[in-house]
Amino acid sequence: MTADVDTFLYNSVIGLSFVLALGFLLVIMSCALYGNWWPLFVVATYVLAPLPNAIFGRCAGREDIMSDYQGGFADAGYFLTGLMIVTGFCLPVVLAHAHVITVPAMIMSISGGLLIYGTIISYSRFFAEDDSF
Amino acid sequence: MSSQWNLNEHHKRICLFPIPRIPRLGPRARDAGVYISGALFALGWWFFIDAAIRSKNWNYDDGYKKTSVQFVDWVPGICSTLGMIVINCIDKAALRGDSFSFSSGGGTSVAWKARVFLFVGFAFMAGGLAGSVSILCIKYLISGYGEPFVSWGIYNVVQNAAIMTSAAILWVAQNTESEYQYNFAI
Repeated sequence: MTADVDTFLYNSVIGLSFVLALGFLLVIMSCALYGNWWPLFVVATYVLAPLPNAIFGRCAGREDIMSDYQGGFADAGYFLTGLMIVTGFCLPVVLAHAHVITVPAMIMSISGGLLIYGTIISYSRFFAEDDSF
Repeated sequence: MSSQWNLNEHHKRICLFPIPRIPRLGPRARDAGVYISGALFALGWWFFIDAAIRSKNWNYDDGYKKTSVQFVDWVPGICSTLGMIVINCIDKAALRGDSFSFSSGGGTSVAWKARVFLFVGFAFMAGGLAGSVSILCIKYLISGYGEPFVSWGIYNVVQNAAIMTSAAILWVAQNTESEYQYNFAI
């Protein structure tokens, strides 16, 4: 039983790292194939996106029952996270619209950023569930 | 049905018609609402930034009348954002401070101040939306500019509408604030 769970864990971790590498590859290719490195900022937004959630979630004190829960902090974290995600989408679109990068570079960087962010989300979800069990 | 339409006589209402209350969301929908609100806020500002960038490096050689995104176009978005900040800085509990009105209790003046702040915030936001529409009309439509220039004014309206929708969604989401606290208080 535990061996099955362990193999499942290992497989999913390996798969997630594979997907993460694929996302980084897509973003770096979107920069390198066309010779300008503007789409690299997409990685920064997607990496920074879960950060306010974590920080403000800790501030809100959802973990310990004794301290009173302050929903304002958690809401600020959610708000900033949503803002970051849409920034990650919109930055390549705006860059492509301003003819700074080409449309294929835009598509590649958006899909790469989505893969990176999806990996981060599913990884944290996975470990959160792992902690609770 | 009676809970939604406020028909019980315990709840005093001012209007003759029953006004539906703001729906109470579950905790999951509440979190999703806050996410969507942040996303809409960013989307609105990115629309405007796109218009500003395109106006900055627009090639004016091909026979158009000249116009560009100036500081006037920034004002409605700044007003909307300020209004949204003011609205969300208000403690929602302070608004419901005096359910027993006309008494000179301690909570009355706090609720009154909170409502003044709320009014100022909503006035800022409505002013931002109205200002963006008026800029679209006065600066772009009446002057008879061509298609790419009008789209900058339209993006301005889209920006302010998105910020206002975002503030509305955040308001509805934060009205259900006490659910989680309630669960833990018990």
